Amino acid sequence: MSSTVDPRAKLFLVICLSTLGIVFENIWTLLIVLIAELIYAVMLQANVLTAIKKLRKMLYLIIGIVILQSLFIRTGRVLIGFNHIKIITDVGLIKGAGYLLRVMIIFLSGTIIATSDMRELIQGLIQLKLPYDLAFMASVGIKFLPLLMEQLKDTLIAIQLRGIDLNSLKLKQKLEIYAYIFTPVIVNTLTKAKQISISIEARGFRAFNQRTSIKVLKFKALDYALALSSAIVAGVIIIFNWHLLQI
Amino acid sequence: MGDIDNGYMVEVDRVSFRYQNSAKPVLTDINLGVRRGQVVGIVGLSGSGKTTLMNILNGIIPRRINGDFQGRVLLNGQEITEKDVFELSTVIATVFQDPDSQIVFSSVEDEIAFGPENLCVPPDEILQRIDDITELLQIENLRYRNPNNLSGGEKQLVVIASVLSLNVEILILDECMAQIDNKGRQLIMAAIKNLRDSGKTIIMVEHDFSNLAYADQIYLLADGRLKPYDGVLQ
Repeated sequence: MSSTVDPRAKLFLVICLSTLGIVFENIWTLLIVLIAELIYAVMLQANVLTAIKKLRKMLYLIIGIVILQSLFIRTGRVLIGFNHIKIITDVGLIKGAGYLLRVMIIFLSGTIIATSDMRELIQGLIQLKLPYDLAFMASVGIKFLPLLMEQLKDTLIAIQLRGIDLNSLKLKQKLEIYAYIFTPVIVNTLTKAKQISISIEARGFRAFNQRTSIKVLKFKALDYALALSSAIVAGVIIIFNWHLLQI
Repeated sequence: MGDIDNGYMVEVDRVSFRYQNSAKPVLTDINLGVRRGQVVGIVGLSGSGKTTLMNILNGIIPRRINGDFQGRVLLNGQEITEKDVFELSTVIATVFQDPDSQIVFSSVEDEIAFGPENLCVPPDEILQRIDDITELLQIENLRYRNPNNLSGGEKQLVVIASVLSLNVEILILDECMAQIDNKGRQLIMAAIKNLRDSGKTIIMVEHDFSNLAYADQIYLLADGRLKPYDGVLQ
C-alpha cells in the first residue's frame, strides 16, 4: 500500500498529526495522536520496528532529557525531594512524558515519510510548488546524515584495525579518540558534499529555470481517502482536546 | 595559442594552474587541441595533474576550485573560463573517478534521468535514452535497483550511463575504468567505440595505455607538462 500512496498525501497526514503533537500539551491528547500515527504508520507499512530499534540507541539521551525537563518544573506534588528541595514533581514528570510522546510522534512521522522513495518525495514537493532547488537540497540533506554516519563508522573501523579496542578503553580515552577523529570525519564529509555538488552541476543542475520529469504524480482515490481521513482524525483530536480543557 | 588551428572544438591555450596554498604549479603552459569526433587520451602517473586538467576542461577550475589560473580554454572558439559548470553541462559531460560522489538518487533509473531532466529533455525521449543506454552498457537488470547497494564496478557503469544520457557533444572520462572488472571494461570500451562512431568527442584520462585502444591521439602528462605520445616512453 505504502508505495502506491502519493507522498503528498503522506506529507499532509504527517503535517496534521505532527502539528497536533507540537501544539497540544495534554498528555492524553498526545497519547491519542501517537496511537493514531502508529496506526497510520502500520497501515502504510512504515518500518516501525527498525525505527524503534534505532530509537533505542538514543534511549539514555531521551530519558536524560525527560528527567531534566521534570527537574526544572517545580509546580505540582513532590514525588522525589530532598529536605525542602523539590527534585521531581508529578507535573514535571507529566511534562517529561509529554516530551517523550512528542519525540515519538515526530519519529513516527519520519518513518511514514521514509516509506516514500526520495525521488517521489521531491516530485511531490515540486508539484506542491516548492522550487526544485529547495526540494532537491532537502532530499540531499537527508542523504547527507547517513553519509556522515558512514564516514564515522569507517574511521572507527580504521582505528580498530590499527589495534585499538574501543570497548576496552575508559570513558576519558574514548572521548579523546572521538575528539581525534572528529576533524577528519567532518573534513571528509564536507569534501564529499562538495564533490557531489560539483557532479550534479556538471549534470545540468540549475542549467535552466525549468526542468522536465519522467515521473508525474497523480492524486488517486486512495490518496484522497488518506488525506480526508487525516483531516477527520485531526479534527476529532482537536475536539477531544477541547473537551478535556472544559473538564 | 597561436599554433592551434581554428578547426579545434576544444582548445587549451597556454594554461598553467597552481592550487591555493601550493608552492608549485600542477600544470605549466599546457597546450591541447581536440577536433570534433576525436578521441584523445591523456596518460600520466598519479599526481601528475590529469584530474586538474579535466577539471579545467569542464569548467570546475577556475570557477569552483580556487587557485592561480592562467591561460585560456576555448570551446568552439569561445572562451569558457568565465562560464559556470552548469552552463557548460549542455555541451560537456564528465565521468569523475569516484562513483560514490556522483550518485544522488535511490534508483538507477532516476539517476540516469536526472541529467536530461535538468536539460529539459521531453520525458518520452528520456525514457528512450534510458532504454538505449542501459542496453548499451548491459545494465537493464539494474534499472530499478538502488545504486548505493551495487558493487563499485556496477556503480561506475551507472555513473557512466547517467552521463551518457545527457547526450552532449563532448565527454570527459576521468579514469572511469579504474574500479571496473574486465567485463565492465569491455562494455565501456564498446560504448566508447560506439560514441566515437556516432561522432562524439571524447577526452579520456587514464594511467593504463590498454584503455586507450580507440584513442586517435595520446598525450603524456608529466611534471605538469603535456607532450604528444609518439609511442616511445622516456
